[in-house]
Amino acid sequence: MKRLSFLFLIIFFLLPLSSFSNPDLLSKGVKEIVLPNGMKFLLLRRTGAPLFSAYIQVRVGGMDETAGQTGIAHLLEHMAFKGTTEIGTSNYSEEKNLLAQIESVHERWKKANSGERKTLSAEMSRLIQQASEYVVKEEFSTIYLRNGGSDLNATTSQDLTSYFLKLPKSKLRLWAYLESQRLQDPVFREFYSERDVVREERRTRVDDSPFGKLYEALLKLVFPHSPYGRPTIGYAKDIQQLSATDLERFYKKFYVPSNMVGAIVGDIDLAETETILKEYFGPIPAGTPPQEKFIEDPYPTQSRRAETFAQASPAMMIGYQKPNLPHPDDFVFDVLEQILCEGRTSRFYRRLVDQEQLVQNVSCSPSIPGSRAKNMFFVYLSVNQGKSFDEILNKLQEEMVKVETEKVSEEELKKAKKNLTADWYYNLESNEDLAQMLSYFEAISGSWKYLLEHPKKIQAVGDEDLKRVVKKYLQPQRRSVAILKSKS
Amino acid sequence: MKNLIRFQLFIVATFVLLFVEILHANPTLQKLENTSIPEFKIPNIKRQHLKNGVRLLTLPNHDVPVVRGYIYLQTGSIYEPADQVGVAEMLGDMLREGGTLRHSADEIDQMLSEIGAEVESDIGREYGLIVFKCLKEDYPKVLQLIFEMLREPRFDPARLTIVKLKSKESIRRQEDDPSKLALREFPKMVYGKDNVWGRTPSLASIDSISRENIVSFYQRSIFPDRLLLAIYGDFSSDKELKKVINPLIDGWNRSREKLPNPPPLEKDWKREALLIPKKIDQATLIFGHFGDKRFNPDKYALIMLNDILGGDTLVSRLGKEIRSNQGLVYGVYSRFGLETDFGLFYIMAQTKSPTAVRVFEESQRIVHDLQGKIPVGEDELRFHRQSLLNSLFSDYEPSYNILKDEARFWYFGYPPHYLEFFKKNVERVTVEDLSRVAEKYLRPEDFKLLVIGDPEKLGGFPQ
Repeated sequence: MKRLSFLFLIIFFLLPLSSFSNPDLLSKGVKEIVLPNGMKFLLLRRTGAPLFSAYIQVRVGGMDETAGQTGIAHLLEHMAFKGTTEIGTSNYSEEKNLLAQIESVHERWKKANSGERKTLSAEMSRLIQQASEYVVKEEFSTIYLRNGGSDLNATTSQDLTSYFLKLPKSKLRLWAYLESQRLQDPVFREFYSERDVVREERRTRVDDSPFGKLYEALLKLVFPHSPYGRPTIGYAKDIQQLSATDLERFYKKFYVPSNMVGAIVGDIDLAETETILKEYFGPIPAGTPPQEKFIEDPYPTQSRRAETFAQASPAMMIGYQKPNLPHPDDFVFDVLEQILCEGRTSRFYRRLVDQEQLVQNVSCSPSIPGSRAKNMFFVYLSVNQGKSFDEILNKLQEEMVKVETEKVSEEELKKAKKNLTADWYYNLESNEDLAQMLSYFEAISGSWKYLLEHPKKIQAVGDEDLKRVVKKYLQPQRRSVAILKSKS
Repeated sequence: MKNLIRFQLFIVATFVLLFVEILHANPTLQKLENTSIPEFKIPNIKRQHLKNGVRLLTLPNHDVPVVRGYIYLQTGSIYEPADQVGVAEMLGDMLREGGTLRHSADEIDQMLSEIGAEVESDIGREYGLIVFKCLKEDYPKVLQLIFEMLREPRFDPARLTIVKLKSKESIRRQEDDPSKLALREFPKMVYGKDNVWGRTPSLASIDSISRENIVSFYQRSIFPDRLLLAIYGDFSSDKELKKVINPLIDGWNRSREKLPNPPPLEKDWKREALLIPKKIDQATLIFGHFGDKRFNPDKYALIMLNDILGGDTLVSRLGKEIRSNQGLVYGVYSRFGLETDFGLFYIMAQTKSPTAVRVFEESQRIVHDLQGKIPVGEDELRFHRQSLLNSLFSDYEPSYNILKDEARFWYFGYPPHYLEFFKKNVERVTVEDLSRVAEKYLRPEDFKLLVIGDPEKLGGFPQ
């Protein structure tokens, strides 16, 4: 929400998916709870520090938005920190009237001509000022912080909205109260100033960021019709037109218990935690599960190219559409990504950075911008001054052709699998990483046990699988390329 | 047996029972908040000395079969010759990238990647740091390679070409990101562009550094008595670990001279404004002046004062007013640096060009207000103190962060069990202390201001 969202996503999805080779910790340790209203929780007890990490994933993100209302899921995530009818207000019944009046003036403003708009804007400012007198500033975050909360944050991706933090173990009940309240009883106070904050966030992350601009251009190219082609943070003109009423409608549709998954990992008592969860999250009305409607783009039949210009060093992003999990080819990309792109001994790095010095760095992701629909294999290159984009593209393609036409040795495959295994162990060390992975895969794939299947599938990947996916998905005619050229 | 070992480790430095004190209108919340923060025992990490002056810290943990390490090197860019700015950074890169006498650079990369190990090395202003992680069975091999890098570096010329190219690209790319550029250029305004604390490598300085320069800087820098090793994770015992480490440091000579301290700084309060033109919509502002020294007894009051002013974007004075009330920024924060010879105090914010002046003036006013008009109240101090102390140990999960902190404390000369000392001193801070340090250390009228943005949209700002 505040500090990470968009950038976090990029970083997160550039991390390789980990393979699970220590199934015992999870298969025997994870406790699943499904409340009668449909909300799911995953619990894992890990002693050590007297803390727990908690994640709540709501299965809603950029891909659930309609055209013209991009950015609404992310703005809603910001507004989820503004409190409830009990938190963040000194007198809710008075404040409620004013918030309703603000919305009614805003609705009139939308339909008004420019002369009327001036008067209505002044009226809105007056009402906003009046309502602000009832606001207890940042009370929601303040409560967490004075009770030892840390890493308090939230993110929105194309697929999910995630709320998370770390707390002392004695504050589990407080967490359950605050989270259940903000999920079922949020008040969208201070909406219009927060909308301006998000507008500034977009300027920082996209409009004035060469990386952000290039990524936005690439998404549009790879997914011209699917919602994955739109930015999660929203287009500037869309953000500017959102109202608290729009937000309310969106919230009611998607924030229903069956559309949410929680995970708690840390020094918790499982039975007591279950009781607390039932007490606080149980009463949330079940509501109607949202119907998911989105279109997927067909695979391209011709290569696509876009250019952007910025006062910045040259860069290039490449995307190839591919299937999402649990398609069998999805696993193959995890291994392929290691071989082509992960670390100093990967084929792309050796060729482009070490041997030919065409790029400063190269990084890839096997699956972005999401995994609820067909996604892409992604390559990012920071191009050295004066080097030819086409030459780099040709060299990349040559490396892919080599995978298709020459045998990938057992040693190289073994190295890729060993690195995926090591990565998984590194991720196991922190409660937060575990809570995030469990809730993520439960929300995306329908079961956290996907994590237990993943290592078996990874181990089964062989040379012929790599050849098949390169041939099928990574041909030049399926390639989309976004180029950033320097503007002095 | 395992329990006994664990018990012995967790015997000192206990954070006990910090109660949350609040007066609430909401009885539900009052009840829920009225629970104590549980005890957290920091493991007793012994400061050990090995032969040739090598220092060692260890923290075993057998939850996951992983070993991690943090190796502090007493060196840094403050010790660079004035005509070789960047040589420390080059050395940091080349230790990892340049191969060893026994193994070529490619062989090292291959050996590490075959076992899924990660080793990275970096040298900053006043220390170098090598960080590694690997699966437990591989840690002797990884340590062996790291000590080869430290004791027998090859500084492969072909790799040096790549390292220099990458370094220059990275300097260019810092300019693409206004925040990074601001954080690189602002210290130059405060310390002076040629001062050891402010200067940074340029394209030309990187070009001019030769392999011989790096070798010579290496020969003056890397010695066993300037090395602090911190090892965490799934090794069976200290004894086993020392069996691995001792042969690696055998026969390594100590340094013969002390590192020369850079000349002490004089605080200069000259007001100054600078614009770095860039065709972008948003202006990036950074403004402030000198901070202070690491061992200043006012440190704890200054830390609290900074938390209140701009430590957290949501709940600080700057954040509440400039972000939440006025919607002018996404992020705004302040830092009060307490370092070897004056850290930096600064506020940083990004806002659309037309509101840049307003953000600067509002921030200046908020700092002024701390100096008398709206002094910090008891409730405000209580909240920020609770927030700091109640979450103090939360960074210690995962527990390798405990070892990381302990290593840093030792490196910079803090006493053992420093966190206990820190906590006690934070508890002693009063609102009167805050008024006094706000008056003594903050000078909003003398802010040096750096703006990165489009002059055409900034209407003459800054002046």
